[in-house]
Amino acid sequence: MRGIRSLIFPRGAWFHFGASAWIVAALALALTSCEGAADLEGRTAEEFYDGVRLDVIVPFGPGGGTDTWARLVASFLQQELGPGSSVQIINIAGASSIAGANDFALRRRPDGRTALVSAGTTFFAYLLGEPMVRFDYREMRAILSSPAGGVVFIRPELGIGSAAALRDLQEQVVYGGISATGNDLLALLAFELLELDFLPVLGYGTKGASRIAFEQGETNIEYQTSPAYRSNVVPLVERGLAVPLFSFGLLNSAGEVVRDPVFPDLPTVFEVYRSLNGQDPSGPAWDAYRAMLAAGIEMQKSLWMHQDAPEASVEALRTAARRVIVNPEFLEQATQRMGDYPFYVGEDVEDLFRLAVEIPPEAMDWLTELLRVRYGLDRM
Amino acid sequence: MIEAAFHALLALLEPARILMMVAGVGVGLCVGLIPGLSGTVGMSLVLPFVFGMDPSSAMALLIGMVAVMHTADTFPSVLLGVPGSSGSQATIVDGYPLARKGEASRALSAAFFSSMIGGLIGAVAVFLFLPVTRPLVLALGSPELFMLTILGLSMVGVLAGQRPLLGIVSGTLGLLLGAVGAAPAAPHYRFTFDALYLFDGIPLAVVALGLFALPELLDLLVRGRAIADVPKLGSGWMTGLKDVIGNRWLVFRSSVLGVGVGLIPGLGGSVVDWLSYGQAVQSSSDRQEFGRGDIRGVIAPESSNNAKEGGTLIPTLIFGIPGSGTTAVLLGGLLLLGLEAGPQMLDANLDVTLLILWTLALANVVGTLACLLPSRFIARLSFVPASRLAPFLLVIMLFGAYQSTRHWGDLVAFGAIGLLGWLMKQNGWPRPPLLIGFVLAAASERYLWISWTRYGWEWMTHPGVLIIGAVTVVLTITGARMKRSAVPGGGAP
Repeated sequence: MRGIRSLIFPRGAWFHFGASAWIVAALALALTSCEGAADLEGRTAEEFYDGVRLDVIVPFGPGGGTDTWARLVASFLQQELGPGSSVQIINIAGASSIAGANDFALRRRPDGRTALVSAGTTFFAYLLGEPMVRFDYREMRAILSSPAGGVVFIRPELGIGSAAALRDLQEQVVYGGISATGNDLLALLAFELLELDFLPVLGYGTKGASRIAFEQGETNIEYQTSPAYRSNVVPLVERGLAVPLFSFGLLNSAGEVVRDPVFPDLPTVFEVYRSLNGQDPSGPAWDAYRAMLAAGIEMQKSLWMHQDAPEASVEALRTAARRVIVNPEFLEQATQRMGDYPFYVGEDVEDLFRLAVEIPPEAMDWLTELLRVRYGLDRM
Repeated sequence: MIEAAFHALLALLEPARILMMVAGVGVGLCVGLIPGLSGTVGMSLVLPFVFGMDPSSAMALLIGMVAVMHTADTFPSVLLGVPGSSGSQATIVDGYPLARKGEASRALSAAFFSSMIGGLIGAVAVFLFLPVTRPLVLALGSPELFMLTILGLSMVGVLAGQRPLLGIVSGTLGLLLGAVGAAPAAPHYRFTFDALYLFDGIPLAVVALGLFALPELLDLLVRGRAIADVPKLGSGWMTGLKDVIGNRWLVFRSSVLGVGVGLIPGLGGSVVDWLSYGQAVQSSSDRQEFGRGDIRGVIAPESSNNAKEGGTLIPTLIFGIPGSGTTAVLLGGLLLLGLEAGPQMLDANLDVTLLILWTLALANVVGTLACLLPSRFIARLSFVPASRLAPFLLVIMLFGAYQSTRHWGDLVAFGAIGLLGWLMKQNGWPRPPLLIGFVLAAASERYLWISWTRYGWEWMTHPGVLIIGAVTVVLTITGARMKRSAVPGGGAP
């Protein structure tokens, strides 16, 4: 430690150090005291956001799929919220979206000035009881949600032309994904349900990286969400380098699995199970799949407020959202970016939410056991 | 394709788009100039404007920003010994000593010219290799990628100078630091102590700033004088230009290396400057001046870090896999414009791809001029007394570190790593190997894990693995031998 003794600053340096610390402190104080303190209690829904800024927390970095969704929704919401209102996106990335959602739940006041965008990953973290989760959807109110589907496809060398031929599969297939607790969970559950002999290779950095592994032949079965499927997998299908098998499907209001509107020609997991087994799927594996379908696909993107936010603010946002989702200009842009998926507002979202959280106890036990035994997840 | 390229150039030359590009260059220069700010910050700045803009103008804005981010970052690296961004860390090793000798403006102009040439070579290389890159990238599976990270890690020996053993210890420490947070392949968290901040690991910018900037600042204060030891500014920018021309092969080699590293998705482009620096040292017979102000130590990393941006465009555009932080940002911008990266960027959207390349080339030239003209004045910063400069620098560094995640943990981590860096500097431990270990930690673990679960022991017999392994062994051995035979005090042959 030669240098410890030489760390005695010359006098001048200490003086300037002190001065700059004061300047920083003063700046910090000035910044924090800028917060507008107008009381919004007692405002009606019509005027709630007049001259008020709504912060929308996106728990991912700028530029991703969820951020794109949020920015599109925000720009149209702003038009509907009335004069003088503004909607601002705040990206708080980290810990697979847990950081941003925690920030919303713990550090933002329920005064109607802050909303949260949640993605399928956020839901999974909540449903699977990730240890750092400090937010609870039961203490939030839903504003808007929309689904985004996914398609499972396979390499042509395996000689399978369609999902109905899956029982002729001779060898173990290799699946590439990111992690068992993220969006890949749905594909893994579908394979369990269909009793496919598969080797999960998890650890790819992104779904783009796992798609390259599929193109290389390192893996031979893979899923992609609909926008990525349309732009990157459809060209492969056209060149005979990939064969689509099935889509995850969507849930209708009765809780039944129906075909994905973007892929009307592809069977759903439900149909594939029926054609392979001659009967409807049931039991814990199916219940778990359906709950995760509601969380990960049906509510892939959603917008939430605090439970204790002023009633007028929730009403104002829901009314604005109802107008946004019938705006032809909005629908055109949404279809172009995300695919032709429906939008749900308010109570409709909460109905879907119930499908996700009301997972039967034996299905939850089955899922916990699967994740523990097969994927080494032992902290639930 | 030539005709399409011509049309794309005409499209770019529309005044509105040129204006957009210049605006992007402005943002990129500012972001590069302030230590610790990365492409993500630049993206957040321009995103609100990009949304709803016509794609070509938005593209000009974004690429203008991307193209020059690693040009302006040279200012803090050379003048203050503080990394301007993750791409210009290696520039410090020789650039900063040059500034202390009063040759700041020579170092800066050499850096800017090599940066520009690197950027242009990057754009040309992308254009030439566009049709054949797909099979090239598809040839690299996880086992090959793992071996490439090993090749990168083998550079720690060269970068450790005369103390290779300490280099290995330092590199291992970096691997350990890189292991903090969520494991790349399994749902487990390591060394997080239940702190949410550590779940994603320590941000690269915080590590780089702490390791290099804070110790430099302390020493500056201890010495209590200006950065430059001599009273007046030495030779000017013409000398720098001559240096670049004199070392044209080094510029070319480093640029090609930069494009190559950029091209490989998932390797972590942030080590390219160190690899390039290592390559420059390894291939020189006279090594005594490296680390004390050898101009080649500035030229090599600066050529490659800008060339890399061209290289990373390929995996970004064709596969949708960003090769660096900056291109991750670009990918986001594309998505906002309703353009999805993928093979269609080579046919249906070829015009956008070509427009991107032209913008990259043109923005490089504009950015270099914008940096070169005021550089002589900015270089005077190295004559400001330490006691006036240091508080200002500390504020900027804290600001830069805090921008990583905007969590107070950034500041704590910055302080802790700064202390580690200072202790290492005081005791003569090499710091670059630590950074290389840190950057390659996640990638090496990830690809080793995937290779193992997918292939078992069989991955070791893949031809690509054997070839890269052989190259690594040969480079390590020749590097070690040349080091031994280098004559102390020997001049150029």
